[in-house]
Amino acid sequence: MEEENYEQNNQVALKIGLIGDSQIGKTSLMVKYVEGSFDEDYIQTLGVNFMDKKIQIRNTIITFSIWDLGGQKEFINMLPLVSNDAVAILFMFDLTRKSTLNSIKEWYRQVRGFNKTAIPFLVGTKYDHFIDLSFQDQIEITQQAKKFGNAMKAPIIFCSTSHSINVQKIFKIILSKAFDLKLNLDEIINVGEPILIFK
Amino acid sequence: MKLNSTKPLPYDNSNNQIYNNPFITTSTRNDDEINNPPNKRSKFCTSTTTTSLASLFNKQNRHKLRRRINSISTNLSYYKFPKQDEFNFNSQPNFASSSTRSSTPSSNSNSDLESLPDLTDDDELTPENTPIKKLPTINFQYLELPTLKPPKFQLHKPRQREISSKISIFEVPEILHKIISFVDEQNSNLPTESTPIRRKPLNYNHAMLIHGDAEIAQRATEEIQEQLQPVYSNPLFNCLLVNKLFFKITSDIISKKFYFSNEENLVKFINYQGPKTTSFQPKIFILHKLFQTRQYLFDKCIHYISFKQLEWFELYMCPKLFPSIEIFKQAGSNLKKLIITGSKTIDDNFLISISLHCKNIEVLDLRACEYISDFSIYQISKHLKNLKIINFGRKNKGHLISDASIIKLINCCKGLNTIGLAGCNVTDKTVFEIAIKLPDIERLSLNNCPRLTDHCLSIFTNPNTIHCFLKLKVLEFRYNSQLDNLQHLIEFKKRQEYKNKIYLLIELCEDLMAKYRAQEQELDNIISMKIFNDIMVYINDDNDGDSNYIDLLNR
Ligand SMILES: Nc1nc2c(ncn2[C@@H]2O[C@H](COP(=O)(O)OP(=O)(O)OP(=O)(O)O)[C@@H](O)[C@H]2O)c(=O)[nH]1
Ligand SMILES: [Mg+2]
Repeated sequence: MEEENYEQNNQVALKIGLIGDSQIGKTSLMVKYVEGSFDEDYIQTLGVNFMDKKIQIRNTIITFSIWDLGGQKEFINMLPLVSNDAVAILFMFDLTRKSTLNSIKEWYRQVRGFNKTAIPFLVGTKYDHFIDLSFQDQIEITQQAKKFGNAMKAPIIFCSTSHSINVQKIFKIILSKAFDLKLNLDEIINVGEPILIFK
Repeated sequence: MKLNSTKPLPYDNSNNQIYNNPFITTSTRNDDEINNPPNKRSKFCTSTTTTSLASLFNKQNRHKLRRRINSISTNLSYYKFPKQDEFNFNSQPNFASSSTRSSTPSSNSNSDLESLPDLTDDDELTPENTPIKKLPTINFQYLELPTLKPPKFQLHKPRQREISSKISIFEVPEILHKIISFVDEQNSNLPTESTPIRRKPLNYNHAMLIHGDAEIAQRATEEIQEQLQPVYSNPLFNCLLVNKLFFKITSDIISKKFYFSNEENLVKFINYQGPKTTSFQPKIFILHKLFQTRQYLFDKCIHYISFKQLEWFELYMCPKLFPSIEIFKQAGSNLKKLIITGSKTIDDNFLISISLHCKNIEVLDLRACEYISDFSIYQISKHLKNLKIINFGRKNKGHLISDASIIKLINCCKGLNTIGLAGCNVTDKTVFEIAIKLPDIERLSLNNCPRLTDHCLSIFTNPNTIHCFLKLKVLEFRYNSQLDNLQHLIEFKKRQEYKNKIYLLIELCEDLMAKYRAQEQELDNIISMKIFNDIMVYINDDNDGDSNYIDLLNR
C-alpha cells in the first residue's frame, strides 16, 4: 500500500437510541450486540444505560454508541439524552404483547419532539416466543407492525436476542441507511418468519 | 509633600496622563515594513470534543477505562455526541473555531439536562409511578417563641496592642517594595509588540477560506480595522506621588525598566537630568517606534544610564539610532534579549562585536535590519550558543541571508525553538536541516521565501523525518505561491494533532489557502470513499454472526 504506516484509522461514530416500553428487551439487545451474551433475568433499567461497540473494518473504525432508555414512564424526562443527536432510533416492542406495539405511536411522537432527523426503525423483540403464538395472532401482529412501519417510514425487523436472530442485521441496516449504501440482503416478508423489511 | 523633580524618571508625568484613556491614541503607523515574528501560540488539544471522524480517539480511550455498562448518573457528564448534520467525513475539524469550542465535553450534556422539558406533567396515566408527595407543612413557630431572647451581639472593640506608634504596612520598606513591585508586574505595559494568536486575514475572502464561516470571517475581517494602538502607560507614576518612602522605592523599581515610545517624553527625560541625579541601571531598555529620533538624543540619553545589569535591549523601529558597542560591553553576559528591528544603522561588524561581548543572548530579533548578512550570522553562530529565538525576516535584501549561514547557525544552536526567515533566500536544505537538527522547534516562519519548493513540504511527512517537528505549533508559509503540493501540510497537521496533541497553526496567504482547502476537500473525499468501501464490505458480508431462523422454526 502507498499509505505510510503511521496513518491513522478513519473513524465513524454513530449514536443509536433504544426506545420502547418496559421489559421488551432493549437492554438485552444492547448487551447482546455489544458483548454477545444474553441473560434470562430481568433487571429493570433505572434511567439510561449506554455502551459502545467498536467495529474495525480494514482502516475504518465504526463506533456505535448505544443508548438505552428505561421503559418506565418516569424516565421519560431522560428521553432527550437518548434521542438528541442520535443517527438512528430503534422503536422497540415485544412481539408477544400487542400493547407494547401500540405504545410505539406515543414514543414516536415524543422522540420526534427532540430529534427530527434520526432514522426510525421498528423492531419487534422475542421472536423466539412469537413463533409460539397462534397463527392468527402472528398475522395480526405482523400486519399491525407493517402498518406502523409504513406510517413511520421505518424499516421493520423482528429479532430474537436469545437466539441471535436478526441482531447483527439491525446494525448493518442502520449503516446502510445512514450512509445510503446498497445492501445485498434479502428481505423477509412472510408471516411467521422474522420480518426484515428495509427497502 | 515634597517631590524631587530632578530625580530621574522614565518619562515626564507632568501632563498627568490618564491610564487607558480610550481618547488618547498615539498615532498609528503601519508595521508592515517589518515582518512580525512568529511568536505565536498554538493550542494543545487537551480533549477532543469535535465530531469529525478522527477526533474520536480520545473519547474511545476514555471508554476503555469505563465500566461495562455506563450508568447515566455517573458518566454522562463526560459525554458529547455528534449532531447528525455534522456527520460528514471531514476528518479535519474546523480549528478556526477552536478557541470558542469548549474543552469540556460535559457542557453539552449539561445543557441538555438543563433544557429538559418536564414531560411528566403530560403523563396522567401513571400517577402510581410518580406519586405526588404531600408538601410538608412548615411552621415557623420558633420565631414566635416569646421566651427566646434576642441574642446579645456585643460588638467587641478590637483590642489594640499597647504600642504607641501604629505601624502601617505601607511604612515598612520591605513590604512596600513587594507591593509596588506587584503593581509594577500587574500593570506596567511595556511598549512591545503584542503577539497575535494568529495573523489577521488579508481580506474577507481570505478569512472565509480560513474560517469557513461567514460570520466568523466577517468578524475576523473587521478586527483589522478595530485594532487600536494600545496606550503604553505606567501606573507607578501615581505611586511616586504618595510620600517620600513611596517615592524612593517606586523610583528604584521604575529605574529598572527604561522605556519610551514617544520622543517628546524622551527629550523631557534628558532635560531633567542634572549632575546630581542617580543613574539608571535598567534591566530593560526599550525605545519603541521613535521613527524620527536622532542619534544625538540617543547618545545624550544613554549618557545617564549604566547598562551593567541590562538583560533586554530593544530598539523597535527606531531606524536612525545606532546603539554604541559600549552599551553591550557593559551589559556583557547579562544580556539575554536583543531586539533591533528596522534599523538602518547596524551592520555585520556591529553584530559580530556584540556576539563577542554578550554570549548569553537567547533572543535575537533583527527583523528588517537589511545590512545584516550571511557574513555576520555565520560568525555569531560560533559565540551565541544559547540562542533560542532568532528572526531575520525582511522585505528587502533577502538575498543577503541564505543557507550558508543559517545552516551553520542551526548546527551550532541546538536549542532554537523559534526561527523567522521571512523574505530570506533560504532553500529546502534549511528546512531539512531544521527538521533533523532542532528537536525543540516550535515556531517556524518561512513567509515569502521564493527559493523553497514543494520538496520542503514533503519533509514534513517523510517517513524518515517522522520523529522531527514533534513540538511544532506554528508554521508560516505565506506568499510562497510557488508551492503546490500542500497535501503534505494537511497530513502533517493531522499527525501533529493525533500523535502530539498539538493544534498546528498553519499560516497561508489567500491563494495558498485556497489551494490548501481544495486539496483538503480532495483528501476528505478520498477518505470518505475509503470509509464507504469498507462499510460496504462489512454490511454485505453474509457471515454476520446471526443464527439462521430456519433452525429455530424446525425445532
Ligand atoms: N426469550 C427471550 N427473552 C428475551 C428476549 N429479549 C429480552 N428477553 C427477556 O426479557 C426480559 C426483559 O429484558 P430487558 O432487556 O431487561 O428489558 P428492557 O426493555 O430493557 O426493560 P426496561 O429496562 O424496564 O425498559 C429479560 O428477562 C430478558 O431476558 C428475547 O429475544 N427472547
Ligand atoms: Mg432495560
